[in-house]
Amino acid sequence: MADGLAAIQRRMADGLLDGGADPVELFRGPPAACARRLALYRGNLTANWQRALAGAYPVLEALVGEEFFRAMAREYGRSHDYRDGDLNRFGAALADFLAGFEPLAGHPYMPDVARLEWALHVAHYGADEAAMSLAELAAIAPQSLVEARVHLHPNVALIASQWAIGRIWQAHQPGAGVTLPSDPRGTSRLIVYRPRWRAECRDAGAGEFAALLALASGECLGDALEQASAAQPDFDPGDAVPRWLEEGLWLAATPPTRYGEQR
Amino acid sequence: MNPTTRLSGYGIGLRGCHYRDFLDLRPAVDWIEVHSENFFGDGGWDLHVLDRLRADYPVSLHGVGLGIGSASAEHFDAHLTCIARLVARFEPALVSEHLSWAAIPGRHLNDLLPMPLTFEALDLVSERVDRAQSRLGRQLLLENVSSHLRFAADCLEETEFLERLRQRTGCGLLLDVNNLYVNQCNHGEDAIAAMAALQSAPAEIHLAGHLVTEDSVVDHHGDHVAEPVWALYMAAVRRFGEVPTLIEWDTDIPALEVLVAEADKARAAAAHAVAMGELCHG
Repeated sequence: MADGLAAIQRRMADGLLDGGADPVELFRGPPAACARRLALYRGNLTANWQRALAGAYPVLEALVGEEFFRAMAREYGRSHDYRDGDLNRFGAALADFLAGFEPLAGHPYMPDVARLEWALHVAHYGADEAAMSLAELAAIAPQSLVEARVHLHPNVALIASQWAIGRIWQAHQPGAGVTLPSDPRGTSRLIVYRPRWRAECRDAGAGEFAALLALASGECLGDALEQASAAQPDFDPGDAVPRWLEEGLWLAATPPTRYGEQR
Repeated sequence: MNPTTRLSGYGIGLRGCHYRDFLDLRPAVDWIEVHSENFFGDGGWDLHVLDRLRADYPVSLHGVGLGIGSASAEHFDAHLTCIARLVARFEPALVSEHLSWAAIPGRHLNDLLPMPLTFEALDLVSERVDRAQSRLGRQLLLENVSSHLRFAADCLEETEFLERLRQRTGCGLLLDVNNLYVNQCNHGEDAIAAMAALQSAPAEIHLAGHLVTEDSVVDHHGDHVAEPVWALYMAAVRRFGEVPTLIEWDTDIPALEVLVAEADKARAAAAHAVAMGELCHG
């Protein structure tokens, strides 16, 4: 009995993914011609994967070169059972994949570059929620503020690395005036955020990074600022907090609810 | 100006590299079409641009990822939900998908793979179109695709398949004239005969460039519309009358004015075809 629809599609898909024996008997025409045309679909698969990854990982592509990037995209695409009809999220698992990708073993900073680029990609497509304003902050009484929980904006990501991924990324931004470091070692503490439409990333001081990490893990503002001072003795919250708000890093601050208060 | 839920005339596909020009210049095209999946995000620049352009242009949503003919349905409802969200936000004049498949259980191949043109496939796609139209609360258009391969199991021509689908489900047809030409070259299918299998006008026509290679003609959307495709387009207009027509350009995308000029060329070609038709029949 002839194959049904599901079996035909399964056999064609296996032929495209495995690169083994071509299921030419599924098609009309001479087997050799069918095999060459099947190869066009196999090429589409890789090209679509490559395009999806290149959209999210332009710095990674520049670092490894287009040819390597294409081969890497094919390996990633084949090993990663992607189930979504929207290729925009295709690259979500690339950093983890690269951590175990033998051809890049000599470049151990690559997975962290990928982590940074993916955070920027996610921020680019993140929700347009209004960030907390300075006026909203000023409306909270100082004693409540110390105990407030701060919700970081969903388009904010905090990325730490033992590699100089911030400088590596900056070196690929037109007009940044940063040269690619010759030695990839060097601590990075980076804040990814989206002031309006364009996702950006900047270096954070040890103090503000410690504070924002503490806020992200649910600690109150007072405790977060104490951790900042511990990490960096000259940390000045009077500079840092207004800057965070100008950059739109906070979504909201929730003062503590006291007994008997209606909120 | 209040773009209605209907659309007519000559449009172009809106691509990211032209956002700035579109915002600054508001080029003289009658409508725009976007790939639905490029707007699946929760927010950001793409959605913001489309919000602004929607005030000045009727919009057509054209999906490339639903894979409506996939026997596996595990991705179907989630994808449809994303389309429904866009339909609610942008109130597009047209919503279209391709007659193609893309997924097997556990895997999406993210391509417009050709359908086995069988009665089993017709039943399956009919059921999916019914589901989609009922979820979206509106008509869906289905587009004929270009293909490098035809299945041994095929027992219908593609436009015959689409005409039966249209009769069964009340869906609309998006006729890609370049794809008809590509399939004429790749499979020896007569493009004029393919159009003759359609009993009424399509709701939309696509035009694009293709690439002739040794093994196959590739629908790469990376060039001007070729001369034989213009001739087929004029034959389509003579048969169906003027139909909303879109210029698609997706690789090696040129400056916006090149696309606008191509849309104007379609407008002139259609006017010419209509005038010729009146001479012959009038």
